[in-house]
Amino acid sequence: MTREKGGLRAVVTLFLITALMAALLGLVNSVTAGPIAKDKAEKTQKALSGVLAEGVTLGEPLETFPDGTGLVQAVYETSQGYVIEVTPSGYGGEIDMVVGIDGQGAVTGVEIISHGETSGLGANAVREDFRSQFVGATGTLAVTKDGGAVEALTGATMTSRAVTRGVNAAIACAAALEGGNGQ
Amino acid sequence: MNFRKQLKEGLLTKNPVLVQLLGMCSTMAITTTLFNGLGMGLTVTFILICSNVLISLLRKVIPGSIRIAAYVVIISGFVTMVDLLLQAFLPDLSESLGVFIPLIVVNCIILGRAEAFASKNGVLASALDGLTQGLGYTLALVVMCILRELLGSGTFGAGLLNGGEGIRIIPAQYPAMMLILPVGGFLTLGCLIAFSQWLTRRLDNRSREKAAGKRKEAAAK
Repeated sequence: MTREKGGLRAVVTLFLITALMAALLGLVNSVTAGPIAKDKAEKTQKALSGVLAEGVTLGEPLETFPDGTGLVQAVYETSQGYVIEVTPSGYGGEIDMVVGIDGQGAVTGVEIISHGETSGLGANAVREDFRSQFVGATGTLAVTKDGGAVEALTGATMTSRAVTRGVNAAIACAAALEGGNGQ
Repeated sequence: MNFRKQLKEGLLTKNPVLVQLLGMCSTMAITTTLFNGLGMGLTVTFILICSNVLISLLRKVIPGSIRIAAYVVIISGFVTMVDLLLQAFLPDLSESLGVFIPLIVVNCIILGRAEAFASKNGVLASALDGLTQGLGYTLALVVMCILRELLGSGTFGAGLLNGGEGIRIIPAQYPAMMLILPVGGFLTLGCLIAFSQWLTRRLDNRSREKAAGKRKEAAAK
């Protein structure tokens, strides 16, 4: 009898504690949901406009797009080309980035929305001097270690390769779209 | 309740990282820049105070058989709240610490203090324990961050000072990158533990000498 009572008490106590924490969480969530969504939307918007050349306007996202690599997440048409969101896998999970491509199939900019790379090493990929070397690139790129021209980040070859893979996927996707339109 | 004793224990003689060897995963992983270390340390301190207070309040209500489950629910609740708050109001810190914020749920320091202290002591003492243990964790992280960042990247205060670049102390081509990598974490922690042991022993000896001196004086009188 006492054992059953003890069991019931344990169940009720744990239930009450869980309910209390759930209520607190709901309260916090109601305060933070707005700012979090706003921050994410702002970041994406900033990244999208950051890869466009001057005077180019962003259009609507395409509903279907060719994707031979499985890395392409979204394609936006612009007045002179495309902005393509790709998610290659880096050292610490997926790198969410956008690549701008102009009408000639050359890269106009690379922006990183979010990543999980090592702070102090791979996280340096967000820096301007690393990203800017992709501007103007066409065709298939590779880091210097793999015989290409992309200068890898010190100590972060995996991250550099991932970003390069993402840019390649975007260039290929834009080329396929252009080819399809021309025919 | 003894503030000075608890503070000394938290910072040195019972430091959660250097003596209890708890929370090793985050200690190794995020101590690469001062910004990360400080952010992580203060986040854990805040969660530790909250969970210690609530667990201490409920210590007579929670039956012994389900106490661990109850602690885990309380701790994960607070961690998720802090995670949401950081994402909303300090997105830079949240991005930089990434997965290690949600992982505070399984950081043994918090469960360890709940079980070892808050479940047996009053609310104020438990809050103080959360504060001092959290400060001890923060201190260990910050020291590791400063050493690893200086020797591994050659900068001080990246993410905080000088527009996020940090102040460059060693020219870019010289730093030993190894110290930023996990192996550097182990090396730095080992040296830091040795230093804290040496310091503890020295302080011990000194207080013993003092006591002996006093006894001699008393005997002479």
